[in-house]
Amino acid sequence: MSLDPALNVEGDLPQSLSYWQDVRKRFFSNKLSIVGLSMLSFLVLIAIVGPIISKWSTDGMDSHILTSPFTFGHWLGTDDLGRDIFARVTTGIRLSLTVAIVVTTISVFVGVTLGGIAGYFGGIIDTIISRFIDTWQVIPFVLIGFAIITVFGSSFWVIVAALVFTGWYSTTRLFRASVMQVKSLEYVEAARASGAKTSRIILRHIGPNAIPPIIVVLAFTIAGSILSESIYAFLGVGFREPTPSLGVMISSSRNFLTDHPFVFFIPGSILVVLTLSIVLIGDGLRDALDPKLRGLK
Amino acid sequence: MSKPLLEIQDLHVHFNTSDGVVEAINGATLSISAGEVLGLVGESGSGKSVTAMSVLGLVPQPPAIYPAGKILWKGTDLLTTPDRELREIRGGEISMIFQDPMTSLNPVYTIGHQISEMIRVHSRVSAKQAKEKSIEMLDLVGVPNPRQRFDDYPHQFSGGMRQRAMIAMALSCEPELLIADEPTTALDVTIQAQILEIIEKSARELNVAVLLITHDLGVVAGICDRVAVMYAGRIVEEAPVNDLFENPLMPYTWGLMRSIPQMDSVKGERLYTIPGSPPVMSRPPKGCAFASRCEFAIDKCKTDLPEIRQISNGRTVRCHRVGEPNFALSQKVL
Amino acid sequence: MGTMFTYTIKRLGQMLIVVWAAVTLMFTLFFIIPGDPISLKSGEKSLPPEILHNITVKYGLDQPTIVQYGRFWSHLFHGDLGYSYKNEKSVNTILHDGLATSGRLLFWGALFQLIIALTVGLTSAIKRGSIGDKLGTVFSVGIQGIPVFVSGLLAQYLFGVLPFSMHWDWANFYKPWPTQWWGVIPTEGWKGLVLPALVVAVVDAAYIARMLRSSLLEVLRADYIRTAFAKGLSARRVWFHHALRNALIPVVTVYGTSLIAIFGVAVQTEKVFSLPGMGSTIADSALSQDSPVVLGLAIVVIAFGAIVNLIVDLSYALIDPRIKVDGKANH
Repeated sequence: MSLDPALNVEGDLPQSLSYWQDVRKRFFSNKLSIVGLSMLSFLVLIAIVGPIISKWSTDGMDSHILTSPFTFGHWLGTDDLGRDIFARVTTGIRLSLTVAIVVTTISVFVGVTLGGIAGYFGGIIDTIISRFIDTWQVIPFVLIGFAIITVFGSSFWVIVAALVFTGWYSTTRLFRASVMQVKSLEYVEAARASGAKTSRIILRHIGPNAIPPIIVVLAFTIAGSILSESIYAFLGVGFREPTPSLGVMISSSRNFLTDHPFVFFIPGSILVVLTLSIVLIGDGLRDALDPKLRGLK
Repeated sequence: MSKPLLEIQDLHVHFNTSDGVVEAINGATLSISAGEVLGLVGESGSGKSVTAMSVLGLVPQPPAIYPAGKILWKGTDLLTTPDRELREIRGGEISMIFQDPMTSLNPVYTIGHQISEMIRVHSRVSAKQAKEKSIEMLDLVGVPNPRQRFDDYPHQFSGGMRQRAMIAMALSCEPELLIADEPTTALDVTIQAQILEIIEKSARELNVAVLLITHDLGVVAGICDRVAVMYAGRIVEEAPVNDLFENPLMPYTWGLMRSIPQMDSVKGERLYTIPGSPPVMSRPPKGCAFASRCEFAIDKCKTDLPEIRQISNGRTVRCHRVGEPNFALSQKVL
Repeated sequence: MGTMFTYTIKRLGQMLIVVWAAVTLMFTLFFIIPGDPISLKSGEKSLPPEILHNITVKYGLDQPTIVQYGRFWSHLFHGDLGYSYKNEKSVNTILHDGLATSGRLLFWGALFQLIIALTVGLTSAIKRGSIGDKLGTVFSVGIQGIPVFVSGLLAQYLFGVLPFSMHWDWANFYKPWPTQWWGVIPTEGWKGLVLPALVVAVVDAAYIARMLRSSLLEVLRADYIRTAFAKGLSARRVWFHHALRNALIPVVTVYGTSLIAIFGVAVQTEKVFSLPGMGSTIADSALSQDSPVVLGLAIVVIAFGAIVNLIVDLSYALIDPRIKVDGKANH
């Protein structure tokens, strides 16, 4: 508080790094983000190789039902229908990640477009978009999903659409805010005052500065989509049996919690580790990208 | 002279930071008597604010540590005073105003509430009496319509008005010492003069001693009785204000004077700047901290720390060379 | 001060518009492409055409959409939420049945949430860097990755299955509690509610606590906190009078959002604990494509969300005097 920056002069200045070098350095010096990154890498690895190296298929039924892990050649045991849990869980990670990446790509695209337009142009367009977001915001996200799935049933693309409809407005709102903030910065005003074209201002000045929030939102939207997809599946309005979604597996495990808790704990912990790893990466990215923290300990 | 109100004796303040220990204050000695207006000048980072905040125990510990020194308030050491007693002194006997009036008032409470709160903490009065006293104080510092403005929030006040409110608050409990930490730095030039005048006028009226911290020698010349110059965590020269301006002794003070633009300076002449920059406080030099920038430094200056010496009545200096038979700073100054 | 009044009226108007828009949005979703009440009733059997016609007329599905929309609102104004396609029960009755359970769950959940968030947030900010603070941080980061249905099942396992097999009766939420506890926890009705309410509370409580912590730490660096200390106030007074109120400003928004999102949490909790609340009713009705029930209950939920939003906005203005001004200074 009382330490003036002037105390730190000549010869003692930390060597200056470019913004992205700095970001990388900070991200990798954060223990939690390293933990997140390693957990995610591990899960992605088993999601890729798991179904290939497993000799069981996701829906092949064995006569051994609810066998414990490491028995009868089932690494993680079997569920109540005798299906191999390892094969189902690894495929489930694939499914979760696929849905999440598709949903996030669309949500961020929508958010960047609508939020950018609203934030940059302001005025009536901004009012319309903002009021629309306000409206959307008072509807709890499960309701939107329920409504869409009630009407359209639950296929892959309907689920994707439901997830996009629940996620688009937070990316839009965030991107709108960051564009508005960047827009009012002095150097952007200087660029405008010097007669730069709108397209140039957006691409050269506003765009790069709005990238850090997008990266952070990307991480959190992926985590959020994985969670929402599993919640829909659990409530019966998302993927359904026999699709190997983690939420479906957890839902089906409820009846066996007393005697065979592993059928709950295996997909449950994988789902938790998966989302948590992405949340940790997101947290790390946010701290690393925030220029306010730059250069400080 | 009577016994001083506040005596800072050989104060050391260090900060534990990630880059090691920063020795912000390295033996500052300073005293102020009742009713006196003392200016404490120095560049940013010289330790003025840390000194002032140490008086009220406002420097967070950690990271700060106090390895040596005393801050005597009427004879008791504030550094070892328990928090409960220190709280009565804060605001009650010593009060403080800060640099940025825009952020120094709590945005969610009215100005009146914040002044009354201070009064009620320090004296047993009713809410009504506190309100009347607050309005009286606002009036004293020249806030127009004080009765209406009492219920205003800080965001409804301009910067200058907020600083007036801060002064009203600081003086509301009739303290004996007012510490003003760069009170005008964040304000418009036109407002600065008004604020200084209010500080001076009310201080003289209420017989409050003032410790005015600033980096602006012009401010010092305007209202101070005495000046102490701080450099790299030590007081390097102390003198009555006129003596200092007429005849600076320490080369650093002399350098500061020369770097003020003058009305009668020759057109096209470049303004003097002191070469180099202040030492890094995590690795303070062994000798005089100013030696590396001083035109008059001799070998001794780089190895031995000069002691504080009394030169004449009320004038002290921390320099090896002052008083040497053939030593004189260039008379080009002023 | 008429400012607060005008502000309230303005916000109320905005709220009504938002509710209207949201309900219309939901209506559009359900009735532009209507679910089919006929197949719901008949199952696989094919019905004689006159019966089909009667049903269509009964639900007003033969009318143009705009007429249906008008009727929908007129019914709504008379407090009539419609009738289920499946069993012809009135949605009002269904709502009435579910509301008590959901209301209790949400009330206690929100209360626990507030208590946990404030306690954890404050103590971890005051004692920052302590072991408790670090544990709190780890916990609140960790809980972000756990969906409610997983934590619900985990709670069931930890406080039901595990104590049962280990014979830890004191930890078992599914057995009557020992009589000596009765002084503290009064009625039996509590037993089934405490665990779900805690599950509802804990998710966002951790998040709000973290927000409060960082917001407090930020506020404590502010100049006016230094001023408050310089005034001679006690640390407690500075914390609770000067810092907390400022720190609550960003937290209130988060709390509002979390109160709206609490519905999603409640749905999962009700499903996990098999509570017959509104949430599980909506979920089941969505599964059986019973649009009027989903829509009717959704309206109630949306209205609740909008009211929460309004309250958050107003309390915002109460906490932070700068809001009232709304861009225009009073002077």
